[in-house]
Amino acid sequence: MGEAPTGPVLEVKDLRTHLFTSRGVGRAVDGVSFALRRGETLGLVGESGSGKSLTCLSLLRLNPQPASRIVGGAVLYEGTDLLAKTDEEMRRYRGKRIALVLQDPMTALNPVFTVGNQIFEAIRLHQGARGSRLRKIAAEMMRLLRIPDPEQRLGDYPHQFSGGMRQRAVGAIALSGKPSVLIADEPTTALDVTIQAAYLEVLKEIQRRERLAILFVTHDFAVVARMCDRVAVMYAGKIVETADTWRLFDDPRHPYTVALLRSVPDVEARIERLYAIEGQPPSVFEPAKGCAFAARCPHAEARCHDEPPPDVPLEGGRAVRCWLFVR
Amino acid sequence: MTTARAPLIEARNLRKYFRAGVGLPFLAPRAPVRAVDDVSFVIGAGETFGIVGESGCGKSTTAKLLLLLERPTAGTIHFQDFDIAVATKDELRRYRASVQAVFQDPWSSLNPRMRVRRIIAEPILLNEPHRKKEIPGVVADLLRQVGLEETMAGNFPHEFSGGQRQRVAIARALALRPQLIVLDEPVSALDVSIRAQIMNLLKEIQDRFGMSFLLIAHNLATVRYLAHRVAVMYLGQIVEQAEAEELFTRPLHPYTQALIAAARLLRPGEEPPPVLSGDIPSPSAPPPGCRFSTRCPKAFGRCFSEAPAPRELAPGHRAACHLY
Repeated sequence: MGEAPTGPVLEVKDLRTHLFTSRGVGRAVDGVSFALRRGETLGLVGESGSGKSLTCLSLLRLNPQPASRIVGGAVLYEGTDLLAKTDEEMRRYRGKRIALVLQDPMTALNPVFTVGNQIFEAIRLHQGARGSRLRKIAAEMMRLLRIPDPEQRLGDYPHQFSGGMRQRAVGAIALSGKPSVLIADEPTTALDVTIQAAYLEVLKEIQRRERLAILFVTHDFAVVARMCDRVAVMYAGKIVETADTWRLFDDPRHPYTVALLRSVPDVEARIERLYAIEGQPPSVFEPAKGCAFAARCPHAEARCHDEPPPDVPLEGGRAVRCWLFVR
Repeated sequence: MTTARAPLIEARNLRKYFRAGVGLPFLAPRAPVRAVDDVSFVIGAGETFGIVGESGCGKSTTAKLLLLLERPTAGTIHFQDFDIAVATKDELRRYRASVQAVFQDPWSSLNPRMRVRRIIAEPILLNEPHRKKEIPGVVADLLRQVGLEETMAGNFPHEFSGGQRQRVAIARALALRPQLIVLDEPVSALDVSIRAQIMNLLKEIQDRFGMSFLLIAHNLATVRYLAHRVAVMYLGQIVEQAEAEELFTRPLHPYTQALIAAARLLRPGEEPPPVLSGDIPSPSAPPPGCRFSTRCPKAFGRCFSEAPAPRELAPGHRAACHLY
């Protein structure tokens, strides 16, 4: 691993992935831009259908085809555009430089092979190791993820692992290519809270050691607070607000972020009545003419319904896509 | 406040063991899974009783026992003036009509081939066939109660969003004016912005009709928002139970404390609380002594050999822990 350049390791510019179905063209990812630096975690928060998972898959060009197609933008990995690579070249990035962990560890693992087998496969592919060295590296990877008795458990099948241990095994596979970017799409959603807390801690420890850049997709604000340095909030295919995690929590600016934070109950506070955002997110097949949130926004003005708002840079490196902040 | 509400349902020493496979001939039978292992609680009239716990703790099995979808291995359920186990056919019919349910996944809990009108009317058709003539009016009223348009009665479930489907499921549960609705993870399959709508709807409905809720959930914040009293389950047993405010502000059991600590929103720079080590043990081979002892940061000698009995440590606040 060479010394990291000062720029972001991953930079996404105006990424657009559209769905092509019998219902028409859906703008599922509609101009997403962000940058990710080494050692940093960027949280991608949003509801289902907001485009966060398709964004993740598009970065690795694993978006389902022909149902969806990347129609514009750039995904720069250390300055090179992955969208311009051939399929063959792209394979050298997947897993090796950018790894992906998905929500459900049971479907990510093959039930008929041992966990060890599946870790070996990744190590063989990425590091070319064979024989006893392979076993040694695999056990090391499992130790890194804090899986107890790694040598012994290499021979276990996925069903012999608990949910939390399975997700760690998936992590061991993902990290065996020594990637510099990890895309984690809801990796803790299927885990119980106490198991989740332990998993996040392991992930953070590895991140600190390897200076891993993590794109962390979640809809759970408690997880965001534990894991993320910065947060991007997605709504209807666009990032509507980006800020440092605590600036976002303490002082959310976009009306959607404000409403979302107010609609979530808190274990530490007695709340008489939650704020509920009325209505539901728009369909990607029927994009709004103006701001996608305007129909549910308590502050919407005439302009919001007619014209899409620009991305407005604010102090402290934050940005918000809202007409309220255009002077 | 603890005993202010008249009891509606009382579960006493409920147990539900599942046989783990039949096993092969010549092999010793495997130990049963003790999904629910000596659980007692009371649900008062008009209150929301929350059961919170992680997967496999037995909370959903407890719900199924109350819904008579599973038969208890041991223990009793008392409803009003009768015991379910020895109830007459007529009493059981009354019970089934009085206890309704809303399940987690509104995609699988509604029959995709039925129109909403039929889905909502079915409980009435089955239990009160003499009311058949009133059905159109009743369905329209129920749709309004849950915030849907009357005109939607002719639609199929697939024409609705997840939040709207859950409203349909709630309307169906209301159709017989039940005294208890079992809510098994009612919002966890919904989107964040929709959850608040449904949680608020549930509160409104309870205010309007005064029925009790049994809320099963893994999300502590949801339970704190909706429940009046809460029980925390771990490996088939209730480890702590108290009024919601008391439980969340003064949790006594180390497991409850760990759950709350893991779900808290950490402040900037705040060190995450120490995580629980290890996995949840198998419910077919629970550890001897206190079931939480293998993961408890405060466990000492006695915890590993002797199971703690639940004791009332403050008014209405019971916990099963040797620390106290």
